[in-house]
Order: sequence, then structure tokens, then C-alpha cells
Amino acid sequence: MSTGTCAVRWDDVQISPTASDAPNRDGTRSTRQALLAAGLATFAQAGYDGARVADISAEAGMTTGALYGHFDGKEALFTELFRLYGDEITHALHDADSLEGQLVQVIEVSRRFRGALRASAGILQRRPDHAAVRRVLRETCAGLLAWHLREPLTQRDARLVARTLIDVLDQYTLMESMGWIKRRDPSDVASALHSMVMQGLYVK
Amino acid sequence: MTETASGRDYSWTPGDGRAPSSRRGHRTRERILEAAVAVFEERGLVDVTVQEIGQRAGVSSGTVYKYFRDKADIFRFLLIELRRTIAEETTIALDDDGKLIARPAVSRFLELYRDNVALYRVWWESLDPPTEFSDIWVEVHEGYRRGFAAALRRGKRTGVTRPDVDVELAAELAVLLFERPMYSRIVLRWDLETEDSQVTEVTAALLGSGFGSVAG
Repeated sequence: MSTGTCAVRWDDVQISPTASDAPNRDGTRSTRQALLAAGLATFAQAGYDGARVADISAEAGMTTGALYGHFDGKEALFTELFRLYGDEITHALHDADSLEGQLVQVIEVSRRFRGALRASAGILQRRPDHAAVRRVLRETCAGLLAWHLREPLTQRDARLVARTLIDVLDQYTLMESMGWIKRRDPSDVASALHSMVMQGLYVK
Repeated sequence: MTETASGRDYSWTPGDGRAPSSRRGHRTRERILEAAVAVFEERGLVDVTVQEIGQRAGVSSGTVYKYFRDKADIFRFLLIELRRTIAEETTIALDDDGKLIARPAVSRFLELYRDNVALYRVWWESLDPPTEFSDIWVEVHEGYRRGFAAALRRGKRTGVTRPDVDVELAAELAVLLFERPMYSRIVLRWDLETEDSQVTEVTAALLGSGFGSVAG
């Protein structure tokens, strides 16, 4: 049953801000934002292992020293990006007022953060700490989707279907960003998936 | 994965044709493969060495190299077998109306995935950076996608597929049901409280008539 499977919520595992997270330290919030954007772009391009601190700094047009002024290193920058992704997707799923709207949001937010997702996929098996964070985020997202599935389904099945949908779209956006499958309009994908859940593929 | 990533080695001849000539050789190779599976299951591919696989099998690295070029070659050999097994054993049949009979195929697929968890673990690990193994992944994905699309298209002709279904897109999503959800469940071991039978039911419903009818 779903009790216990989601004892920890995404909000609870968020890494508390460190000193260097404080905005406007030396008025450099925009530098930090630029580094995060450069991190996303570099991870999207090269994956976690392929992205070097030097590449990320260069992408931001800065020295590696500037990066280390804001982050302890690549891992800290990735952790922050994944936290931002988690915040954004949970807020978007919370705000969407239908399952189909939520599915569109999963695709759109995941596309925007595809660098963080590519990096995450690359380290998921060898980094149990990251896998644990990712799992909590997945449960939180599934919980938000399951709310809209409670009508046709039992609570148990709603949770399982919700996880399945999150997983399918994770894989979809990952394969899309690797250029392995065709890029499509998020609303078309969401609509097709929604109709598989509600109407099915076949005429009754 | 560096060995294969840089080499772009597309050779599909397992073991470079070094098939064992004697019965004893066969047994040794089998022992190496079994040891490799055990090591892969625990630690993946990237961090393991041929020496470690040899040790687990009770043979020297030199003996391993008699049969396989490197650790990726061992995985390649096992993956070819897995690919053949999946193709042979998880074909999704159509009923008289032309609808997919998903349940038995999903159920068998879950079993196969579980039996080959070590190989799926390594296969996922080998997707990024792209290697010859991610090429195989995409090929298998594409094969299934075409199969689903053909079945749904046929269903449209016979009137069983809903007219508003986007065949190409639905087929893509159908394949994905067999990828990441199984990985989460079996390799990452995330959903241990759900039963395989429940997963089978839900997956079959998504490939069938959906859940809307439950609510009427």
C-alpha cells in the first residue's frame, strides 16, 4: 500500500542552503545563475562523466576559479541542478489541474532540465545517495499524479500507474535528448499517454 | 565503458571466433560467463576488470583472454544471447480481432528481465556515453516500436483500434512501458511492495482498454 512508500517527501530531502548558496553574496547571484545554466548545457552535451569543470566554466565564459567560488565542484553543481529540477517539477505538477496537464509539465520541465537528467541517469547505478534522492522525487511526483488517477483506479493501482507514467516520460525525454527517438510536441505525447490510461488503445 | 566508446567497435563476432574446441574448453568458457554475470550483477561493467572475472571463475586472466578480447566482449557475447531470447520468447500475439494479447508477454518479459538482471544493469550502464550497446538498445527499441505500430495499424483496418489513436506515437509509448518501469523495478529495486502480477495487469491494461471503463 502507498503508506510508507512515500514517508519522505521531496521537500524533506532538499539540501539546506550552504553559505555559497546565499544570493547576492558579493552581488554575484547572476554569476551563479550563469554557472548553473552552463552546467545544464554541458551535462546535456556530454553527460556527467564527460563534463569537466573546465568545460562548464568555459561554457559560462568564466575561469574554473570562478566556478569553485560558487560550488565545491562538479558534484555540488549537479546536486544543485537536480534540486532545482525537483523543485520545478513538483511545483508544476502541483499547479497543473488535470492529469494531461501534468504529463505536459513532466515533458516540458524534463526537457528544460535534460542536462540534469542525463547526468542523473549516468550516475544512478553507482551513486546510491543520488539514487535515493531520485527515488524520493519520483515518489513525490507519482503521488501528485495519482491524485488525478483516483477516480478510475484503486489507490494501489493509481500509485503504480503514476510511477509507470513518470518512468515512461523520463525515458521518453532521455531518449529524445540523445537523439534516439523523434522529437514531438509535448501536448501530443501527453494526450496519447493520457488516452492510453483512460480510453485505452482499443474500441470497447 | 571507455574501451568500446573510443573504439566504436561494431564487430558482432563474439569472442573473435575463438569458440572452444574441446568439451573442457566449453566448460571453462561457461564458467567464465557465469562468473561474469555474477560480477556484473554486483558491480556493473565500468569498474570491473577481466582479472576479477577470472578470479571469480577460478582461472587466470590469460585463460579469459583465450575466449574473449576484453570485458566488453564478454558482455557482447551475453547480450547477443539475451537479445535472441527476448525476440523468441516475448513476441506479443494478436487475438482473433487483432488486439494485442499483452498479459502473457508482459509476464514472461518480467521473468526474463529478472533472470537477466545483471545484463540489464550493464546494458543500462552502457547507454551513456553512447556505445555499440546503446546502438543495440535503440535497434531493439525500434524493432518493437515497428511491431506495435504494425499491430495497431492493422487494428485500425479491422476497426478494433480506436480511430483517434496516433499509431506511431502510441507504439513509441508502448515500447517505453517495457523499458524504464522494468529498470526501476528490477535493477534499481524501487517498487518491492508491488507484485509482478499487479505490474502485469497494469501494463496489459495500458496496452489494451485502459482504465476508464472501471469508472464506467
